[in-house]
Amino acid sequence: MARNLLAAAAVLITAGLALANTDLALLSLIPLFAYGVNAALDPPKVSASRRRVGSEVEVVVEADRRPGVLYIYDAAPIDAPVEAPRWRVFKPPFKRVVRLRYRLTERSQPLPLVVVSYNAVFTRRRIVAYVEERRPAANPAQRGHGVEEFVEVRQYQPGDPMKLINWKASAKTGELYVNVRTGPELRNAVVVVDARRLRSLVAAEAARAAEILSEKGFEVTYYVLGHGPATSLPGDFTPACEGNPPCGDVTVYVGSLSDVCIVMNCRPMYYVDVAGANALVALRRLALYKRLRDSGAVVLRGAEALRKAL
Amino acid sequence: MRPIIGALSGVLQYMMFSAHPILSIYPRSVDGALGQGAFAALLLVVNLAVSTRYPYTSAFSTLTLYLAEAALSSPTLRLALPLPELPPPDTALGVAAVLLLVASSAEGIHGLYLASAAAPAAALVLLKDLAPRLDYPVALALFLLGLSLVVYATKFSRG
Repeated sequence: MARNLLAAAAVLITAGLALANTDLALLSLIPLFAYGVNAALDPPKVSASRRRVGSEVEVVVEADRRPGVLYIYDAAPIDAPVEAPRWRVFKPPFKRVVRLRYRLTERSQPLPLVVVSYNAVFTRRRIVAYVEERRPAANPAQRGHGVEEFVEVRQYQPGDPMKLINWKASAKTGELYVNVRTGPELRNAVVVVDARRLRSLVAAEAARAAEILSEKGFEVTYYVLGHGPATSLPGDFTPACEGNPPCGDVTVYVGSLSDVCIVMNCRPMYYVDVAGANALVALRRLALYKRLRDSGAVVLRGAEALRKAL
Repeated sequence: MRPIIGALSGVLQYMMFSAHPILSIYPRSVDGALGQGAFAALLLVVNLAVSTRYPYTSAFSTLTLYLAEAALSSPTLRLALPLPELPPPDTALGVAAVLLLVASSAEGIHGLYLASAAAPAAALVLLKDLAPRLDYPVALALFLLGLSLVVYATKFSRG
């Protein structure tokens, strides 16, 4: 969209200069003005809420007066069998409330709601908003065989196995409580690989990271951007810009995952920057590292550093 | 919004064709063969059909027609080709074509908003013709304004 505006301006300037026609060149100001004014604007500040209305779900997004484009979606896990509904809505200036309704799908629990707002020409993005709802701490942990030790009780959350419910504590308080135990939990780790550049180096580091994670007792799977989930690293592939998350920088993935993790309270993320071993590259990426750290990721300069970090 | 863009494109194209000394041969010949208003109907139908799927293409074809008319009237082109001396196309039509292009660059009300955001610049371009003696200073000021806006915008852009 911004590209269309700038392309129109470029065509008009070029034609104006080629034909020595000032009027024609001046017409380029029209798309440039639309682009420039909107590019300077911040995206609208948003807050979201969601409620059930019969068999439908109503999403209400409240925003300030600024115009912008809102992307509203349920943050489904990347390996979800069905893609979550996703809407793109333009919010005109001075309109403060955007409402959406959709039919409730059969899910045991609602997914976190994410709202991403951009300004009208997509040059600025504002971080997402969530519905204020109680969320499970994480997917119920799969447990392996072996001795388990009791640690504490905590409130029941959807997804907890019934056999963990502490009936005595529940009877006393009137609310459901579950026992928290430590034990040989089966731990899963996903290595997200962006191998579209420095492919051999990235693949080697990813394999090293997977090896370290395995040593630490994790079940490791891969998610290769532009390729999809994989149990082992593909030797050769052509990245396809489709799927969920779409073909993008791995930082987009880390960013969106961390957005979800604020709610889902999932395990920490480690961002291994292969090119970051080069001091000059690392210097250029300081702002990126800061953004990643703000998202809750731990930034590392090589797979070996993962051993210490874990 | 798409049919509106198609209809406006058709209207603008018809105005450009019919007002031009050379290109008006097309409406004249089509109307002569098929009856009064046939060319206008043809443009309308074609533009509506295109704009239902590709509104930007429909709007861009309108701008291309305006550019073609500007090229035909250009003294630069007359140096290379034996063209008759023709009047330049109406700036108002060019402004309308560009506004339409801006409106079609995004979907629905979003495009309408962008076109309204571009309206001050369109007004300035039109007003410039009302003060011909200020042609160059105004042009320079508008150009610098646009340039500074783009520099400012891209400086804070996230790509």
